[in-house]
Amino acid sequence: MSALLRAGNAAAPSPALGDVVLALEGLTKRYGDLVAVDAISFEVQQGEIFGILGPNGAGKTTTLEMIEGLRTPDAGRITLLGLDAVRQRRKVQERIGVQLQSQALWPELRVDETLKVFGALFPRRLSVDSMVERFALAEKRRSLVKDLSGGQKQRLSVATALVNDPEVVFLGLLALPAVSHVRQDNGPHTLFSHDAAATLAGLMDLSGKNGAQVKDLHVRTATLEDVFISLTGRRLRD
Amino acid sequence: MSLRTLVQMTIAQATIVSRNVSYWLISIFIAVFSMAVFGWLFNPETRAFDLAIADQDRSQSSEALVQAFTSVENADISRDSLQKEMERFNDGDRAAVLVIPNGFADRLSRGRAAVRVAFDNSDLIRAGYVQTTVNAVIDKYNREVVGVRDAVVVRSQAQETASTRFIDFLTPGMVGMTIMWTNLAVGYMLITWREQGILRRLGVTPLRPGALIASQAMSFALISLAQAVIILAMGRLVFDVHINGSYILLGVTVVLGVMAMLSIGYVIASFLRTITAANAVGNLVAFPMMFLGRSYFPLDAPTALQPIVKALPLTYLNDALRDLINHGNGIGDLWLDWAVLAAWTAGGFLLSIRVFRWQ
Repeated sequence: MSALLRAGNAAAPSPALGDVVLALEGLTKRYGDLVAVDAISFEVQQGEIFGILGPNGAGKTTTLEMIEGLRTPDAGRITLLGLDAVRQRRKVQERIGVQLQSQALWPELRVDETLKVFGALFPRRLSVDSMVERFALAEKRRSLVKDLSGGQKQRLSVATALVNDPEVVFLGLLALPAVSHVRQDNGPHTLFSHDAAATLAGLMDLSGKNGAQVKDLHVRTATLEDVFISLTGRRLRD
Repeated sequence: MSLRTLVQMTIAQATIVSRNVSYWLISIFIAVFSMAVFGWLFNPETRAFDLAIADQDRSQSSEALVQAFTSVENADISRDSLQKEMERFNDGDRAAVLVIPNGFADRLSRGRAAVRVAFDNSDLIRAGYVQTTVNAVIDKYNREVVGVRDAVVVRSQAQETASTRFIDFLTPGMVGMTIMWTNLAVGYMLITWREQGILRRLGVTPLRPGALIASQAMSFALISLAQAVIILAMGRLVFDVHINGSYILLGVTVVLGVMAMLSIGYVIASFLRTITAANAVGNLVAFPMMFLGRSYFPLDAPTALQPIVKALPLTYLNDALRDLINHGNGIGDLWLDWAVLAAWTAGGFLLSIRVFRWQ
């Protein structure tokens, strides 16, 4: 694990601001002899934008996958929204929104059908009308996903992650162009993102717009140089 | 799992499959094409036919009539007791049974005698051909042997029997074959979803794997029922293939066939990672099964392939479909077929649950 970067949004007054929504304690994952995630611990507070950065193989994706319920940790605890994210996986998944690194959309479905079926997976859901409006897809709502432009697909992919009105949102790299739509509404989402420099840049851009500032930078295990490389795309080293 | 999840997932997947034309239309096209080829262009049964003669009179006159029939080139004559020949007739092995009743020679000597002919009416073209042939032979007999016009008259009786038309045999097999192709494709579908990250995406929602599988089974069942309706409607409207059995039992049979084929599709998706490999293995399974599963040919002969034929789920699906569509059989003749299909379903799902990976 390499670097944790926080940008608290000081401009958003919310009573819940400051509550811990995600806490990792000694989270560990091994693949045979390889320790992919080595006893990491951190907390994320309500309303924070939280980026997780590091070189390839640092364990970013594995960490995210354990929090999202795709992988079971070998040791440690994940407390998400006050629930045990391993034992109460589905209860947690009802209240989070995940945008993976791939768009993961059915090419054969229309925009409105896609939002409808993703909404049906959750007990609570936002209307298709409000989602197409918010993600600038109203004109395309009856188009097939395979006929959408790249940007439209990315917006729809992020929209499917928000269709259950989640309290915590996990965004992959592809979400960047659509990220401004995520915080368009007044709800103080907690954003959690990973995947290197572009994500950091996007988060900085977003937090700047919202009058937020970088709060702190933690460095663990990896050298500062690793972090630096992943932020600048190796140009400085060469 | 909520009902809403199940219903919306079923609708979405049925929509996906129906818009993926290659999943369902190609197999229907093969079925319709085969029915057209065998129904119209190549229909051997309209030419030669099996004619049974039961001579109860055993007189010189009756023997002369039998001889008149043996000279007909396209008729295969068999002679046995009335009871035995009627059994064969009812099984669909005889196109017609000619009965020369006791006292035929006596009545003929007094001027007028009758013979009875039972026709299998399930193939109208053949029935017409057989009737014309029988009448022509009797006319010739009256003219040349008796010398009196209308000395022997034909009392014919048309009857539906277990059909022997090839198109009747073929149509249920085409339904079975279509179910096989369409539902094995769930393997490609799952591997595609895995490659596109869709399975991972579903894995971060509260959707349970059981709900995914249940909705998938329901959507494929809906698609296959629609395919069966299309093929059977074409059989009925174009080739006069009758459905003699219960529609409800037919629906149950189609759904059981869907489940057995889906379970094989899941096994393919469990063991293979790439679409190319799934395609190759899918075809390797499907093509031999299409031919060895009795879709096109009866394959009753005791060959070395018989153990394979007897093991394939398609064999039992086609058998049940023929029992229902051709013979109008009840549940007593279906239970074995249903049990084998259920066993394949259980085995396939158990194996894929052990091996399957969502990502």
